[in-house]
Amino acid sequence: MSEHDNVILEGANISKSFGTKRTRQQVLFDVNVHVCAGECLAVIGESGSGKTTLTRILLGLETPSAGDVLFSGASIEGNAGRAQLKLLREQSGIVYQNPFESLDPRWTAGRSVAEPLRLLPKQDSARARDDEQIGARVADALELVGLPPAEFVDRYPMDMSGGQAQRVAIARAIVKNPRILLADEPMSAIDVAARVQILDALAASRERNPQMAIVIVSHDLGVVQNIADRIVVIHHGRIVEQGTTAQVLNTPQEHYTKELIAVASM
Amino acid sequence: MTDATPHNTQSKQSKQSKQPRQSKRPEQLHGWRRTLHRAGIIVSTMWHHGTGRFSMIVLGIWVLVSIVSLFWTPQSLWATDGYNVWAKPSRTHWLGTDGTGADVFSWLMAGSRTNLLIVLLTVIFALAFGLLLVALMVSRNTALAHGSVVAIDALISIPTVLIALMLAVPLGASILGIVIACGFGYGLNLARVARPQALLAARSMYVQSALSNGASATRVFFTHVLTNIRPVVIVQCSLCAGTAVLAEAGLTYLGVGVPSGVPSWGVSLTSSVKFISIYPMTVIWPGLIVTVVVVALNLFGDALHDAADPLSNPRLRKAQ
Amino acid sequence: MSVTLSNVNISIASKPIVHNISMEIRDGQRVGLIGSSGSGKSMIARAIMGLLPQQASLSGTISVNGTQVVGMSDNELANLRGAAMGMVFQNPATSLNPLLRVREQIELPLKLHYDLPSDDRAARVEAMARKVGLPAELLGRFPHQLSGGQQQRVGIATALITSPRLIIADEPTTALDSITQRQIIDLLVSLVDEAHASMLFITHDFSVLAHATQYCYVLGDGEIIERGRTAQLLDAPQHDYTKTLVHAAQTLSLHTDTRSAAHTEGAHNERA
Repeated sequence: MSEHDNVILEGANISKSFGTKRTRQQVLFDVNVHVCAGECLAVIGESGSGKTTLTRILLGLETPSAGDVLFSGASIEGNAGRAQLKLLREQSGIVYQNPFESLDPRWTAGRSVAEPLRLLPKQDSARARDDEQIGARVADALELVGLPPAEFVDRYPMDMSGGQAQRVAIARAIVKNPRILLADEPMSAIDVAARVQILDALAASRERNPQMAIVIVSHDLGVVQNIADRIVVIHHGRIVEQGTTAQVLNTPQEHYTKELIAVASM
Repeated sequence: MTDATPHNTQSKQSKQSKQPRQSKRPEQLHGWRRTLHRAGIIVSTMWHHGTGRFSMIVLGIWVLVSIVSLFWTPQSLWATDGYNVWAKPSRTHWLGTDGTGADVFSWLMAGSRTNLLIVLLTVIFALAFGLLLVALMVSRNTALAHGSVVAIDALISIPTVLIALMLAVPLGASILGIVIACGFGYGLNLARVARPQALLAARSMYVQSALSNGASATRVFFTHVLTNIRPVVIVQCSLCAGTAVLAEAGLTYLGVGVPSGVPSWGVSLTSSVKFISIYPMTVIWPGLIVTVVVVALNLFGDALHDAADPLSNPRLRKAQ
Repeated sequence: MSVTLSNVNISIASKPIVHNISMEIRDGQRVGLIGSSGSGKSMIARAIMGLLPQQASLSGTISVNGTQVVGMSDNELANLRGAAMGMVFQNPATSLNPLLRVREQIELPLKLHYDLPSDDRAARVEAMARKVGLPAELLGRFPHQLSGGQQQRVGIATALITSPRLIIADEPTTALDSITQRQIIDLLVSLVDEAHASMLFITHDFSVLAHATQYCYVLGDGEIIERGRTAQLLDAPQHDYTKTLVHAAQTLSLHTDTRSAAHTEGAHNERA
């Protein structure tokens, strides 16, 4: 299912605990996970299962208590991994749960989507040279997620529906053609009717950039069946089941997975 | 009054530059043009509200009079008419004369430029000092953040008058004393009032997104945090300006403000206040001006707050 | 309890929110109201409860068991609300009072609307807690010490403690995980049916309605655009907007027959 030379991001033996000695609480237990270029991996679990912590560690937003994260084969942890971590930051995009919290309310959609481009280091080849180029790429990204640029580039989040705002957030995450896209519960704050549009936007950005790896975090199997190639089920900080989407949905092994499948069926 | 014309020409300009490019290039207005266009919308929004229009007219007259007074006053400031002290208003002395026979109207005119200078300097000082404190308070260095909160709470308890009196020791009666004392006091106030908003922005998901894209803390402060505390800061600045006008009068009366001989509203007040029971009008005129200007400053802040925030001004959101 | 709305218009600050709504909730019936966020569905619920915001204006008739509620005084409304209606809110984390323990939270409506000895009250609270599946040891805790699902159980217990004849559930499961969602819906349905009460269930998700309601109304752009039995609407939606809603619900839920086809390469490319 995965050629190892193709692995772009890998978490090896990751454990994580929070709190001081007395209030210590372990949320991840020796988790091994990887995602290949061009693959969409779904991390499924309930709130408090550790799924969000795991993905934050994978993206270098948090450091694991034990274990290692490898991006393109090199570690991003510690002092030695600092350069690699910087590279990961430049080559990854994140979509958060609630677009009205993750978009600056006083910025237009165009300005928000342009932000990652303006933050690319000067020597980066993907960096756009001037406002003209940045504007063109912003328009292109908005177009891709199904928002007509002429209409949306100067619009503020408060004048958008949840689905539109979340697609702006997706445009911001993909505008610099990242190698990894993390979507953390991108649909749970959005109306069901608009969730399909989010799926379409993710699928379109995948089609545009087939080498991009997607990690999607969700508590709902119904949502991810439409996009995920592989599913990892996390329960109480441990991986209880993993496999291709077909394997997990058709022949679930664990009781917990079966329960998730039962509630995701109409 | 000064604003209607510039705004019209601006919107015409922007319309011209916008129409032909709209079809292929959505993000059409850049840099100063975009800024001008938005400024035009803000000014015209304020003009359409009674309080905004009133404050803009008053402040417009203030600025205009200050500039004119540099070149012309009805009577020379130093022409004292010894035979005509405490004169009633007449064709030569529009608001009469004071105890030295100097023309009251001319002194008030000339005073407006001193007050304008004091207000501008105070607001700039308070703004710079206050924003520096805000930056410290939202910094992710917890020791720095906590330390600055404690320091501000301690410093804010020192009365502005006390600071002014202490500054008078090295400086004597001077404009600089008012500016520093007032700016210091209001800088602390601004920081404390803006802190909740600033923290909300600094800890938000959009800042997290910017940081994960490689933004520096400084950049985040100037782009996201400042944008989101701007409405609060605008109101604080207008309060600061109003306070500066009042403080000028108060501190000058105490003898630690504008030195006598330099025209200012406080000096005009102070020089005739002893005779208020006999010649009330020479005190009432500067008092009236100070009151109207302070009210106008506060209303201006409120109007600008509403007009300049895209969340509360739909015209700004529909811009372009 | 039966509720009838006819020609109800609601506007807030002279901006129309819903117009000409007519609905009927019969005695013992579970009715759904579906629409996107911002479509005004919560306002309809608040109008029935008499909880519209100050600047809202309401016209038309809302009759509860034959009594017209529009124009009632605040006091009369409060009595009707407390004894005859219960409301379960979307976000239990913000709808529960953070300073009240679970026991006090559930007890509050009893205290306000009934004159009961405290032993009796305590017994009722404990019985209610058992019914909604809250372990007795949680009764002494504060809301922030509970999980989302437990918080919503407290919300349901608080709404049901006065044995209301109508329960209004405003997106009660939106903030919850999928397994908890299903548990809460099943719990609500069984409690409502057991008490022979009526329910108005507000949501944006058709797959939830399929489990929770028998009849439903579709709200689009402030108007009822379609109504019918839930199963029938799911099978054969007429209006375009209803079709979108049903299609979305189907896309986002697993089917035994399509499950094996869903993950194939073509599935998402085809839609894109």
